[in-house]
Amino acid sequence: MNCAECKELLVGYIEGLLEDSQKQAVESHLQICPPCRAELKHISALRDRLTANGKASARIGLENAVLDRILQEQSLKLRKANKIDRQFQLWRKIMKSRISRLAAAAVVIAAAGLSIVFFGTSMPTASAARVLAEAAEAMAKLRSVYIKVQIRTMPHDNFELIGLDYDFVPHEMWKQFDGTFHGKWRVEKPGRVVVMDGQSSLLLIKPNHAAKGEAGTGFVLWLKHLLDVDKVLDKEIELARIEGSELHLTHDTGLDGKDKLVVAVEALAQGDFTNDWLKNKSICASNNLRIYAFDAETKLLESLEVYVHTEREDVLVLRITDIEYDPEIDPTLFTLELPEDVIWHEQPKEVPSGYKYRQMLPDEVAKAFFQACADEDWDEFLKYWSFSVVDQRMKAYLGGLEVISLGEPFKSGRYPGWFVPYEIRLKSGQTKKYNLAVRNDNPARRYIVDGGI
Amino acid sequence: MEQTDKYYVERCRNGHADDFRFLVRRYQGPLLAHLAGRLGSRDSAEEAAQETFVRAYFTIGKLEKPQSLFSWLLGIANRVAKEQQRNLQRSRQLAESLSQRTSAVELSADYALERAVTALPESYRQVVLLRYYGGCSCSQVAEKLGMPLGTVTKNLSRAYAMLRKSLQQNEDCEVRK
Repeated sequence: MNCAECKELLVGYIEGLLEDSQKQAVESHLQICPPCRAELKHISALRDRLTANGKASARIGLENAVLDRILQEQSLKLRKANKIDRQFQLWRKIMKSRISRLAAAAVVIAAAGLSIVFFGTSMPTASAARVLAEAAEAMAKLRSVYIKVQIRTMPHDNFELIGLDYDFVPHEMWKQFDGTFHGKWRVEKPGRVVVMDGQSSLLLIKPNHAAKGEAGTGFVLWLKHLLDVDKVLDKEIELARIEGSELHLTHDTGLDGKDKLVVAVEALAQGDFTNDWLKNKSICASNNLRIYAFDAETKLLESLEVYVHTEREDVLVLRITDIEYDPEIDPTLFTLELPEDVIWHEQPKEVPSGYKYRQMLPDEVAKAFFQACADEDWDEFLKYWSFSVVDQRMKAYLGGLEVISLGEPFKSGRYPGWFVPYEIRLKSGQTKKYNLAVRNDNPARRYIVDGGI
Repeated sequence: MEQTDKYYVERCRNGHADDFRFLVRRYQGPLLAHLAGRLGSRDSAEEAAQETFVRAYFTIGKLEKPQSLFSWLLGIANRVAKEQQRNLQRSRQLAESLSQRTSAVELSADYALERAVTALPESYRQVVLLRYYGGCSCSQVAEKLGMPLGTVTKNLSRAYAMLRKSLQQNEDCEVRK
């Protein structure tokens, strides 16, 4: 046995895992080799130190403290859930007992083909249609709006992403209604900002990645619906018709003592969740309850809370914390200064042997993409990448990686592309197991990596 | 007979909150050591470990692979530690702006070792945490992490080498100070 072989077996020797013959070989070598004896001594000393530290940690008992906290939080959640449930039970009761009051609303519902449930205590004869028309009229007079929203998401990730166990991330939104169809707006969170100057939009992913979009681009997706505060109810009615969500309209008294018009929307997750990878990762991909409150007099939107329903609980994922109507907005907010080293997102261009790339299937693209990372072949990498250059940060992260496994591609939710399960080992030794998103709805018609890195 | 993680995870999902106790007992040592290395204070580590377990309990329905419970717990612990560090930084800044002195944190007895363990690559760190702070034998570590026994000993061997190097560097720094 030589030193390298002995060192390879030392841990097994200390742990008593060697077969007799191996053990004897190690012991014979140790007798004649001072450096290996020193190595054994070092490892044993480290092992003793780890054991002693482990024993000190074991003296701390967290069981009771954890169980107490779980019970406390459980009863709190239960009370909250009961409250929501009671609210709906109450609505259902009133719906049953005051059929006559619903007659007018029923006409509207039947005419629109929607499942709108309307009842009111202070204006029993008003129709849902009238209330909605008044709200639309009030909103049409707006010149500008500023909204602060908290969303459970990741600061740098796309605006659509939500996560039930993520922390709340502050978002700010400004919109100037200037008579044009799109208006000017800005949406910002710590890691991303989008501005729309009335003609086109610009996205900055901090620090230096950017993308240009047309006027109707979807950088902010669901939030756009909120940004169009003047059309929020119209949009909900449209969604109810298309997606089969259910609208409840009622009156409530707010904390300020004023009469509120409350619109609750029960919406179902949209898309195919045979594989539920995308389930609950966006508002559209979740079964959710959206509760809007409008001032009954001015008909202006005052608050919104969005809860995602899960089997265990309802999780608040989005809430408006502040809305200001007609504030003065500094026009420079609708422009964006980009860093000098900006890297542009671009649609894939035709490449030599384009046919070969167009023929590749999602799993083949994933394999080729990771191979390019492994070989640090950045020209090849860019054929599957949606930005114009690869920066040093990305090269350092992905360069020289090793693919442990690739799985069967699958689809989820409404995502137009495919997800390819992968497990890789990075140069740092860290392993990562995730799903690579690839899509080919681009002019070059080849799959490119769209996310999941 | 000792039940598997999967068994207790299923029990918790079926509403037997009290069975979560066994999982806390099983993983509190490794989590505390990991968090102490990250946060540098025993008290903060205990607080973060509690928070980690509470969050884990309420999101256990989302755990896709109950056999990978430990890796999942480490992921939650990392998020909690990050939040705690952020909050601590804020309160320190506030205290400094008010010219107040922040009280010194109580380091654990072998903070240098815990910090070195925390700095190990994930696959090595998990083996060390389970072996020494979770009281698992090498075979149990292999079972929990779904890796061959040979990989466990190989990872331990590499972890020892890295720990020695990092502890040596730390001692050298101390001497220079």
